[in-house]
Amino acid sequence: MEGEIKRTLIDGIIKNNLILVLAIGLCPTLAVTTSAYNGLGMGLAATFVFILSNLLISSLRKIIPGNLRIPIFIIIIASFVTMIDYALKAYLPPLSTQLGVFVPLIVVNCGILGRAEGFAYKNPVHLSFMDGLGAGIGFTLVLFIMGTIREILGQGIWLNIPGIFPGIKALGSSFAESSIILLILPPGGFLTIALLMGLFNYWRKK
Amino acid sequence: MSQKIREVSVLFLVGITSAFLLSFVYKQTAPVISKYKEESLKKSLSEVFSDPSVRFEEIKADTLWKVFKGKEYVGLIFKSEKKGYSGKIRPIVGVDSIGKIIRVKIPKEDLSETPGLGMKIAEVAFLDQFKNLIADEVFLKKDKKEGKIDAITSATISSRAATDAIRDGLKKYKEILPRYEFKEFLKTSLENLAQSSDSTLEEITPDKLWKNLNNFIYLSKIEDSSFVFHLLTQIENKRINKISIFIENPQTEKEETSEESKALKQALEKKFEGVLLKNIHKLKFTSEIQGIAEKIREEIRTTYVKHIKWREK
Repeated sequence: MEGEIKRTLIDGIIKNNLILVLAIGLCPTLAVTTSAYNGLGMGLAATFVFILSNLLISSLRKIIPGNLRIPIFIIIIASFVTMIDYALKAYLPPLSTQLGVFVPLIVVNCGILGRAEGFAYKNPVHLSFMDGLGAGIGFTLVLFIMGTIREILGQGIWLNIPGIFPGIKALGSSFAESSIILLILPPGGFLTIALLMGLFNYWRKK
Repeated sequence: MSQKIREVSVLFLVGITSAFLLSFVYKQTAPVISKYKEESLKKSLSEVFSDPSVRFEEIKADTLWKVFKGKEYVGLIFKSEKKGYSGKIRPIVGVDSIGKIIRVKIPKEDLSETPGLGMKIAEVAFLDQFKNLIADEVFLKKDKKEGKIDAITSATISSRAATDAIRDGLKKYKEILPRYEFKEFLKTSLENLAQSSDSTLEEITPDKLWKNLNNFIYLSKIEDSSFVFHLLTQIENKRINKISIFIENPQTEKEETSEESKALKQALEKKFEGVLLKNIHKLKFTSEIQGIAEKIREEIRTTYVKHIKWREK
């Protein structure tokens, strides 16, 4: 029992890693990972939704008819995320402005649908919770690493938090002035994700 | 058949429950959200108009505000819009009564430019360049020689869009600026002057005293019981070359355009034209213009002695 829980968590991070293995949820991944902070923010917000939507889907799995599961997942996830968005805007406006773009992006993150379909629909609630957590951690890690690579090479700084922390000049200030701008543009996203995928799969095969 | 009915009813139930919950949450949060939005808008407005004692009156929803200090109409705040590199750029601009930018803000929340490049237009280093500029100066340096704005490296499109949005707004709303007509008067008079003498004016005291060749031009203000007279006096070699008068109604802060005041303006301008300063006390005035003309004479004498005489040497 306990082994199963642990295994589900680790599988969520590595074996079923959303981006590097399953390659789903790539759109927000490519879009927001221009800085480490953005990657982290998106990752954490998505983790929260992964867990809750997995819980919800898993507890409703016996009622949801098989043929109709996809539209029902979409309705549940979309209205759920929208409610969270409203609540954040109303009661935690500073956090909402910080998360700004991420929350609506989560609605269209097919990683959530992927976990609902691939795991939560077939498994009990406690395992679905662990799977959501694992998927979230895996997603966050990859986003953070991608953000780090793109921010350091593309802007010459690391961990810049707009309006709060200016960031560390990781490769010296002369590099910060002539950084590789390509890396924070869309092609840089594709390059980084391809390299990461390659490295990750190489490591797993060994 | 029964399975189909079951499926349809489940989908229906899920849909209606979601809709119900969503509308419930929306109803609960909407007033809180709009209140917060209002507050942050107010904050943005006071950020672009540095004087804290003013109040704002919305003229056009979410686009245009008049700024009042007490009862006096002292400036404008507008929001303009232009397509940038990957989304709309919406600067909020504070403008003083004669059309100079006080401060510009571009809210980061609804900006979707490239992070690390175009996003930099929302930073103080870029926005501070706009302080104290007038519409004709709001161009990128690389686009026009009058321009005073340095574009952000590798983000020319975003920088240009922001600059254009700000300039468009300035031009669009200049006519409702409180002192718009006066500003135009000043501008055209000075331009004519520079043209007629074929040399540029050098500003000695901002908006007050100018010089070109042997000419001194200064701006002064006289009030009588009903109007404010703005005088642009041009003195060359101890002689009043020309005097241009702008009669303003202090109630409306607009130019007084009645026939009487036009006649008064012409009579005064003609009377002082070409008079030598040493002979100014000998001028005789008809009774219609006597009151104000004497005040003008006094004004010219004191200003000349105080500000110009020593400079001529």
